[in-house]
Amino acid sequence: MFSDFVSAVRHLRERPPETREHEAAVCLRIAFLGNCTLDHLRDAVELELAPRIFCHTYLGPFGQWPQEVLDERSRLAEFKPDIVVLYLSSLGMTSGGSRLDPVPAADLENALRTFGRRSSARLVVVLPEPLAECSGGDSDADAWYRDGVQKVATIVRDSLPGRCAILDPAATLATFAKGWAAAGYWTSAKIPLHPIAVVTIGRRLARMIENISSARIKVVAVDCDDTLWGGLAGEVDPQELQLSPHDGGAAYLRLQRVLKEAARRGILLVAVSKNEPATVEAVFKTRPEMVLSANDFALMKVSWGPKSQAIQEAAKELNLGLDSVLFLDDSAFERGEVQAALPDVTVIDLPSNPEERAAFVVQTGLLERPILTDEDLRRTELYREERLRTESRSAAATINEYLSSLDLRLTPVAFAPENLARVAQLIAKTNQFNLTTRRYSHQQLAELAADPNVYTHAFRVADRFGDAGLIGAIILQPEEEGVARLDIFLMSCRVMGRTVENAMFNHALRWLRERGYETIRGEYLPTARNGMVAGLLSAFGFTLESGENGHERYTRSTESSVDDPYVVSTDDVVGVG
Amino acid sequence: MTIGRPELHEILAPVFELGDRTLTLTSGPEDVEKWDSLNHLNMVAAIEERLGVSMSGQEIASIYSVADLIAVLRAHGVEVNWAD
Repeated sequence: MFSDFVSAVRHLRERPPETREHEAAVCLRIAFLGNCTLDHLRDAVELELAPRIFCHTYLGPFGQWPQEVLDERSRLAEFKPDIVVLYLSSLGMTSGGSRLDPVPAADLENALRTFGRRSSARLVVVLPEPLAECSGGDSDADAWYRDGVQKVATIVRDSLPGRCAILDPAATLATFAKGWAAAGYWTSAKIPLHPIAVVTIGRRLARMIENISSARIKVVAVDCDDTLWGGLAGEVDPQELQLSPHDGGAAYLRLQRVLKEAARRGILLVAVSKNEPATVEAVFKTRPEMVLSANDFALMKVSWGPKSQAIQEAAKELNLGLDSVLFLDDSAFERGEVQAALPDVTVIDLPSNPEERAAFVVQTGLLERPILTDEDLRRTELYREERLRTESRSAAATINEYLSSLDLRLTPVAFAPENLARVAQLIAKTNQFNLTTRRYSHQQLAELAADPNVYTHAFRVADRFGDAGLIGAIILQPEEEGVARLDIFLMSCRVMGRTVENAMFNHALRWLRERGYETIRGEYLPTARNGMVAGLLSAFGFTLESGENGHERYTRSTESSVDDPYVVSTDDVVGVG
Repeated sequence: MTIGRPELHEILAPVFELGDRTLTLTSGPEDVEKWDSLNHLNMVAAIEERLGVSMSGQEIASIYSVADLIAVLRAHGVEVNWAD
């Protein structure tokens, strides 16, 4: 039941984080970024990994993943994540499914490459979900979805080779029939799937994170005869071994491909075979179908001694613990021998049917992309730091370029009957980016809007990805001659970090100047949740006048605007309010 | 379908951590401590799961009290017998 999940999350959080951290075997710092609301995903991962893994989590502000990644002073950068989860939902990329805009491929690639250079964190990308109206045919929605998933997956793999993992939600969603698509949650809260589906995907994500973070397996010790190829190399001519893709050989080649990929990701391969070395060598040399070449192996342990002994020697030579070794062998006898002699080695019961083996090995998750070892990190650290120094300038240029390229447009809209419902909602619900958290009823707002001496404006923001709608509001009340007071200044957190608030403020300043106001007063009323605007008035050039009883009063001249470099065109409608 | 007040309470109690406290028709985000925006959606998800209904975004946003919730359920053919 979903309510059980809600209670379980609450019970988990009721225990002090320090206690949970103390009791956990592993602590991970996980950041969640995306173009949708991610609370349920975060909660599911945290709950699923507890109590063994304690998660410090960071929930990126809605829709701001590119800035968070590009800005080296972002809260994401400060958080120093071990793992970053990025979910680019289809609904987020298509304005709720209304417009099949192309996937922001260039931005994604740019952000991920910067991320890869700057952070040693691992990235887990949740691929876009199918659109509800995908039918499995060739509709525009189907084409968009197939193309989008493929583009995102390709960019992720190419930009962060070996440091990313991909979770495709489609397989999980298929178990929900149609129930996962629940547009009501998108409309009301930018949640792209039914919360129950989000939680199910979160559980899968947690398994993946667990594998990534504790990738124990660094070596695969693999048998040759009847494991890498069909038949016994010592008994038949190499040409007679089953290795042709046109017969039963394909099954062996599939397993080879899985191992080849593991090797590419840094897992070491050791061939462990009871044979003459020359016999095994001959197979590698004379069978062009082989996916694995002799060079893919860190060591060849080919001898007539017990396999446990060969593995022990290999671990010693590679300077790795036996607990980092996975042993693959088709023979139950050999598996038993190794397990009995070396209990620390991971031995899995390879299916007797060769056709099933490749998928079986993948599904154990033991070969999931391992997190870089401490040694790897240390080795790369120095050169990464050096590169950071030389890059910080161009990186700053990158975020500036990015923000400029957004083509941000701010449209001030005077409070009016047709937008008052949305304005009232914005004023009632904005808790964080809100200087005063004053609430006004619909009726009060209508009265303020009708008063020509009161500045009442809401703001609409659009960029090249789409229209974010009404995202902010300002109310200025006249005080004595030439002085106005900033009664309400609030903005949706969705558009933070783009100097939109500065452009909003500039609009208000212009209005004041045109009406002969010389001074603007500002107030900051701190609450438990609006700490993010504690420094806003100072940043706008206000001077603090008094600050007793948690009520900070500021003043500023109405002259001179503040910088809003990224807001390219403010469609000015001054005078309507 | 008709459900009674105890059944509705049973669905909402774990979401809002009600314990033995009872809800009234006017109960809403103002007076129910755990009725915040995330739990609002959790409530909807729990209701949808248990009663097999599916609410629109507008309906989700229109609920400001237990009475509003009951009205939305009625529109989906689920009567809540509050007198129970």
